Amino acid sequence: MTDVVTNKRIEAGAADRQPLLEAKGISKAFGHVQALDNVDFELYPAEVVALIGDNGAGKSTLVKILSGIYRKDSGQIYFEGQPVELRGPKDAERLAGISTVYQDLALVDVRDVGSNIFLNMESTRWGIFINFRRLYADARRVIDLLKIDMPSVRVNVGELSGGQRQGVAISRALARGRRIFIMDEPTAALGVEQQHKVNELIANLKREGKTVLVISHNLEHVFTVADRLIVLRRGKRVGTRLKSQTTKEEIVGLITAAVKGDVPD
Amino acid sequence: MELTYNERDKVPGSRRLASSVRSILGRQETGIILLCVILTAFFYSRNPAMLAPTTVVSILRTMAFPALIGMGMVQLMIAGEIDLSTGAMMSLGAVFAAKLIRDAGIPIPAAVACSLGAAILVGLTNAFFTVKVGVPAVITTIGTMFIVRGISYSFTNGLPIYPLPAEVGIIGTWRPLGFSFTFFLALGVMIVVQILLSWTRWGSALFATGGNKLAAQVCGINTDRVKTICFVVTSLLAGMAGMLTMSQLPLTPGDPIIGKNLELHILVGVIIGGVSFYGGRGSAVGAFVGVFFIQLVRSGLVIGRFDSFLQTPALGFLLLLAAIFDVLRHRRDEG
Repeated sequence: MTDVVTNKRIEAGAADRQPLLEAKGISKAFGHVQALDNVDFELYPAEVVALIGDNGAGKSTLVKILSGIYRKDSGQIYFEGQPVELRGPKDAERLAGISTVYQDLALVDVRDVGSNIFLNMESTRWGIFINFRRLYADARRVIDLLKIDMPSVRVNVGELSGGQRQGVAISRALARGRRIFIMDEPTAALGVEQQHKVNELIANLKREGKTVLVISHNLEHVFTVADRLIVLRRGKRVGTRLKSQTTKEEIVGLITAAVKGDVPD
Repeated sequence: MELTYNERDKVPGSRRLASSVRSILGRQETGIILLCVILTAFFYSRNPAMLAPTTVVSILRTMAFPALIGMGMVQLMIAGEIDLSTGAMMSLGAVFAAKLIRDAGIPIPAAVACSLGAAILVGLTNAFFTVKVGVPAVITTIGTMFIVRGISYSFTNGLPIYPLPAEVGIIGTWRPLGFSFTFFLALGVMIVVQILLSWTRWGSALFATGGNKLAAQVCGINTDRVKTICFVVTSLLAGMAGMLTMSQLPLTPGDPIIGKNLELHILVGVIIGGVSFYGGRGSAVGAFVGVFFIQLVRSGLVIGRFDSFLQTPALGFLLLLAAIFDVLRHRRDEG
């Protein structure tokens, strides 16, 4: 099958690079339901990966293991080649530089953009007073780096559009030195123009050398932003494709099992 | 590194004055101050004694106690919790210290320290049930309100503890500039708390904890610790206010009735001053002015020769009014 050939080519191309994050043989069961079955997973620096699959394919379970919310039953996660144990979201952030951009974005609506980006890491004068001049200047720098359309960093987050809010959440993670950004359905509940902004945001993150993992149902969106697509079906990784070497039809086939996967079901 | 504002983030010079004027006028604090002026004029029209210096000084002296506690309450409410046991804690603070001084012969400073220790214990109890067990703060603190007030009454058999040494009244009878020590203390604490809220990481953590707990936690803020500190500070200020009340009363009795209904005065005042029941919103200045407003209404009803039984329903009415305002504002922000 051509599938296997394609897969080999990807592996050959990747061999000269060390994955930033690697997971090997990840399994997770909830009672009798095997949510993930011996899944390997890897993310390289400065790439955009889309994790796709039908409902119940194991996408969110995998993401929750990577972001430290669930504990895996078996398998091992490596960050820059070193084994890491993710016991909670804090571990994922600090040990593996993984930041999850939650669907509700977890922003403080009653505070301004700058205060949200640097929340709990504000630099102070004399160890007491927040240095607001510096905070807003730094916030502007991060916002401009990602080319986010933001009239002012002193406006309350509650007054922003969906795309801008996503930008603030990403900026906050970027300011904390995170290298892997997990975005769960980033375009859900966004209008066309705002979706476009999110795509630009993802492209700019990649340009800054960051890795983005997008979980999405929206194939249109996935094909716009992703470099590589990983398909899960019933807890197994059934396919990995470079965007440049696949079609929507093939991906849909992999999701629905109309196309035979790379591993036996 | 260059530390200048980007042009877009600057408030333009020509509009700076206009925008600050607008932001001052748009604040709830300003509205309450205006309301205070109108009410004063109304009560003055009923009885000119309203503006007599002794009346003004007396109002400021009386409002100092709830205002002092309000400075803990404003932080607690910004963090998204609430404390209804403050009035009872005032009572226990006073009674416990009085008991130690009169019956155990403990020196006054040591008795004060013990009483503050008891306040910390009550604050930790409130925090434990609310933060660790997950009981809503309203329920927890109604519980401790009854327990603490009950302890206070059984300590004293319901009777004031006196005589106490004359030294107990030193602070209470001190009248700097004709006002009272507690008034200046409350004013000082208000300034400190406002600075904390506006310009420190503590304030930033408070607003985040009450504004969006998940966001605060994502950023590594220990929201449980933040809330616990707020509960303890509020209790401490209540215990302190209780002892200061005792010190100001004639004969300085450790009276278990101290602080009765004051938890409502504080709650209503703080909410009227723009602090939200939903957390994440409020200012120390607003809370202070709100507590002053409530005192103005309470004293004004007496001076304006209204039925004295009107005080309690007025408090209830104002609470509902402030709460409706808060709900509408919350809905607008959510919408």
